Amino acid sequence: MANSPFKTQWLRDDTLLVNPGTMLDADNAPEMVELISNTAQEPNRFVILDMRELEFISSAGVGSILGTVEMLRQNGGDIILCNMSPTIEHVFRVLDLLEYLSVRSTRDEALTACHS
Amino acid sequence: MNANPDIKRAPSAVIAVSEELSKSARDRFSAELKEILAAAPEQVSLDCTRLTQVASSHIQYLWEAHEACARSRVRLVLTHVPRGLWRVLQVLDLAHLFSSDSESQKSRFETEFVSGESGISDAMALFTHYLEDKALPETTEFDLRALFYEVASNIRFHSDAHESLPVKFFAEIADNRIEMVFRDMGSEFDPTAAASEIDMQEAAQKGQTRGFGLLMIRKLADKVEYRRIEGTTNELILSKRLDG
Repeated sequence: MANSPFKTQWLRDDTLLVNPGTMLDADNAPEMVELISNTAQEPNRFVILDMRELEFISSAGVGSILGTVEMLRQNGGDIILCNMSPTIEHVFRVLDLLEYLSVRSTRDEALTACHS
Repeated sequence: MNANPDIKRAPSAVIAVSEELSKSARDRFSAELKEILAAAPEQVSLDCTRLTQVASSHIQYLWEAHEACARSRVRLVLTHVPRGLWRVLQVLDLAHLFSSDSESQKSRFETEFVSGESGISDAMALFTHYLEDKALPETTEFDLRALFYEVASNIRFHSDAHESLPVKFFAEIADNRIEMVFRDMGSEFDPTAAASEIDMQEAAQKGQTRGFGLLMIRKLADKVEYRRIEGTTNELILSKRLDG
């Protein structure tokens, strides 16, 4: 995680806040997969992906979330997406993922959802 | 060609090209072109208004003018280019040889890029600038950028020719629809032949992190067409309505 290109912060012992920046695409998606996979090694871990700065997400970016979410869920945790712009939300809607993934409007709502 | 072409002497000259295809018409065109170039104009303009039905001979006229002007180091400009003519020039890979002040060119974007990280990034920035000028709805503009990125990335990661030969990309907006054309010289690959649907929940269960690009292309574009050209070139054509 020390080498992660993303801004990260532990909000609680079990909840990692991740800001992917402006782009989540083929060039940084592998690092996102690694970051989430490492976090999922411990039980009951949550990742909050705060997308407030995210301007572009590619299929590889979506894949980095979709392909790791079950690792967390099967270990008692989850990925919570928040602060999506209308265009980013549109991508997840087009791919029919808004109901499958956990999505909240704000970071506070995401944090609440982690421990509800 | 036109029996009475509108010829203006230097600094610029205009030939109003007619649709005639007879040998005498071709001879007149050649003679007019030669006469104009003898006056050493700064620019020759071919008014293509009448070329609404395009035949190979018309293309030969344009090619002859291109070659003659190049030899004389005179700028050649096509004016009032009907969309069909411009499309034929694109298909024949000749459009880049001509300057045009036509409406079709104003709505057209064209670039070449090497499909590495920086090449895709630079080309996408140019394409984004082109889209921003069109003042499209935000999600539509995003979709078009995403389509460009997904196809370019697919070529980057799966083509065996990406490091040696640039990818050609054209986009044209007409009748509230955009058409995006990608040409690369990699091995034959027909994305329309790939599986059309992916069960995303099943993919998640399997921990699949890649392989969603073609699905995204299909979801974001209204139409995806592929053809192999002359055994050397992959051509992928995406089209999408612009009104959401």
